[in-house]
Amino acid sequence: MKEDLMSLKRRRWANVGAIYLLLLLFSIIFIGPFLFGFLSSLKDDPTEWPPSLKINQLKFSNWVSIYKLGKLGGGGGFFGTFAPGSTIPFEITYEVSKGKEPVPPEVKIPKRLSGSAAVSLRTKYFAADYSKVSEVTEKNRVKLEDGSIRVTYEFTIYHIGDVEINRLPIDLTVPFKQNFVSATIEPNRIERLGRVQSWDNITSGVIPYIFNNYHRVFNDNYSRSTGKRLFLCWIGNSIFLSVVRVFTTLLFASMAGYALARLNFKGKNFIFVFMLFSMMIPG
Amino acid sequence: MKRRGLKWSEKFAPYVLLSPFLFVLIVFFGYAFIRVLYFSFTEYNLFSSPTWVGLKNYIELFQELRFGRALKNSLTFAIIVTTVQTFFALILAVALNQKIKGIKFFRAAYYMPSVTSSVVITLIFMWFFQKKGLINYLLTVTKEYLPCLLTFFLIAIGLQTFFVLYEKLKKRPVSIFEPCYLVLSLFAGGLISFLLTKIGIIHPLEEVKAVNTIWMNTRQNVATWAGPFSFSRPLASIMMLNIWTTAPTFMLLYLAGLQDIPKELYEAAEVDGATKWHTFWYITVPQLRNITFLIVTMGLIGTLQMFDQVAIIGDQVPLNSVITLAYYVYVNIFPSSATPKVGLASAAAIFLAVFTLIIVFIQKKIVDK
Repeated sequence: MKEDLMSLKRRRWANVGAIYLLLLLFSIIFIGPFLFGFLSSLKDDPTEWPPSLKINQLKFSNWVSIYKLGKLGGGGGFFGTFAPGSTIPFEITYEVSKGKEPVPPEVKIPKRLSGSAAVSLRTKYFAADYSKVSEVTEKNRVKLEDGSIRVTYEFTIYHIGDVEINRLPIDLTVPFKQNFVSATIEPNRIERLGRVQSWDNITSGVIPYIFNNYHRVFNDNYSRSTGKRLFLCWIGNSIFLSVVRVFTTLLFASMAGYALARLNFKGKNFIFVFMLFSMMIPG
Repeated sequence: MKRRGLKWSEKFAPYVLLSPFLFVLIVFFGYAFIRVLYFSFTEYNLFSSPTWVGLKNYIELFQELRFGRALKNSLTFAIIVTTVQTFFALILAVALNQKIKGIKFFRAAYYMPSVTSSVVITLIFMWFFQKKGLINYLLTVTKEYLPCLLTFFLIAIGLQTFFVLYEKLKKRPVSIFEPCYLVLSLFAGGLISFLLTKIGIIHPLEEVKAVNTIWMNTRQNVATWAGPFSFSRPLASIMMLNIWTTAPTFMLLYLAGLQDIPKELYEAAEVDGATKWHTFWYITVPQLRNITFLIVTMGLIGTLQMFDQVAIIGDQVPLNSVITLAYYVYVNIFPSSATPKVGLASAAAIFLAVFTLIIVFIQKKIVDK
C-alpha cells in the first residue's frame, strides 16, 4: 500500500516534469525566432554566417571597458561623448608566428559617417580634425611556447579642439599575418584578412554600445526642419491610433451588438447577414 | 403625447444604436462593394472613364493562366494551412490547459507570433529563409550532429522499452509513453550521448555539405509525388510562416473552449478506466465541435484571403509561384509598369467573395451532417 502511494506521488511529479519539457520544447518554436532576431539586432553584423551566439555586445568585459572609456571621454559611462580635454588610453595585443618581428600598428582616426544619410547631414565635426594620437609604444612582450610572440602596444588619443564630438572611430592597420588577439575593447570589424581592426565609436558608453541599432533608431530619425526626434512621435501616433480605435470600436460595436441581440426591428436579419458578408470580402 | 414619444423611441432606438456602425459599414463596405460590382462589368484603367463591357471580364478571367495559378495556390494554401493550423492549435491548447506554475508565461509566449505585426514577422522569416539563413543553418547543424542525435534517440527509446517491459513483467498497468519513464529516458539519453560526444566515442560528421535549399527565389515544387496537386516551394515557405502566426490565435479559442468542458465528464471517464487518448478522442474533441467549426470557418476565410505575407515577400519570389487570389486582385490594379486592369481585378474580387461564401457553405453542410 505504501509503495503504491509512493509510486503515485512519483508519477505525479514525473507528469509535471513531462509537461514542462513539452511546453519548453514548444516555446523554442514560438519565441525562438524573436529571441534570435533580438540577439542578432545587437550584433555588429546581424547577417553573419554561420550565425554565432558569441556576441561582443553581450560580454561583461566589454561592458566594463566601454563604461570606463565613456567616462574618460568626458561623457557618462552609459551615454558617452568625446569631449574637449579628454585623453583616452588604448591597448591592443597582437601575435606573430615564430621568426617574425611584430610591428606597431598604424593608428588612424577615420572621418567616418554614421549609416544613415540624415545623420550624415547633421554631422558637423569629425574626431579626425580635433584629436591627436600619441606615439604607439610597446608595453609588454611575451614569448609563447611554440616560439610565437605576443606583444601589447599602447597609445593615447587626445582631444585638442574645443568642440564636443559624439563619435570617436579608430582604425588600426598592421602587416599581414600579425594577428589580433585582444584589445581594450573588441573591434566592431576585422577587415582585409585581419590587417585592419576597426572600431565605430570607442567612447559611446554602455547603452549605445550594446543597443547600437536601437540607439540609432531613436537618434537617427530626426526632422530636418525642426531637429526633433521622429521615432517617439511615430510611437505616439501608433498609441493614439490604437487608443482611439479601441474606444470607438468598443462603443460602436457594443451599441450595434446590443441592438442586434436584444431588440427586435425590421431588417434585423438583413443587417446581420450584410455584416457577415462584409467579412468575407477580401480586405 | 408622452406615449407616442415612447413608442417613437422604441421604434427607432435600434436604428440609432446601429447608425454609427452601419454608417461605417455602408461607406467603407457597401459603397465600395457596389463600385467593385459595377467595375467588374466595365473596362477601366483608372485614367479613362469606365466603359460597359458586360460579362467579358469574367470570361477573360477564366482564360487567364495567372488566375488559374492564383486559384490553385489559394485553394492549396487554404486546405493545407487550415488543416495543419487547426490541428496544431488543438495540440497547443491541450498542452497549455494545465494547472501548473508558470503556465501564464507559456500562454503569453505562445501567443507572441499572433500579436506581433505581420509585416515584422514576414521580414524576420524572409531573413530566415535566405540561402544563408537560419533555417538552412539549423538543417546543416542537424545533419552534422546526426550521429549524436541518433544515439540520443536510440538510447531513449531503448530505455523506455526496457522500463515499460519491466513494469509489464511485474504486472503493473503502464502505457508506452509513461511520463515518469519518458522523462527519465530522455534525460538519461541526453546525458549519455552528451558524454559520449565529449569523450569522443561518437563525433559529429565532418565535412558535411551545407544545406543550400533555396526557399524563396525558386520555381521548384514540393510534394512532386502528388502530381498536379504539388505546389511551389516558396508557397510552402509562406504556409509554414502562416501556420506559425495563426495557430496561436486559434489556440486561444480552443483554450477557452477547453475550459468550458465540464470536469464531471473527465471524472466519469477516469472511473470507467479510459486512457488519456480515449478521453481526448471521445470527450475533448466532440465537446469542442462548435469551436472547431468556428476555427475552421475563420481559418478558411483568412487563408482564402491571404494577402499581407505574400505581398510583403513580393519580389523575393517568382510571382506565379505564390500568387493568391487576393494578391492577384492587387497585382492587376497596381501592376508595375503596365496599365491597371480594374475591371478584371474587380471581377476576381467578386469571384473570391462568392467562392469564399460557397466554401464556407459547403463546410457547414458537411459539419451539419
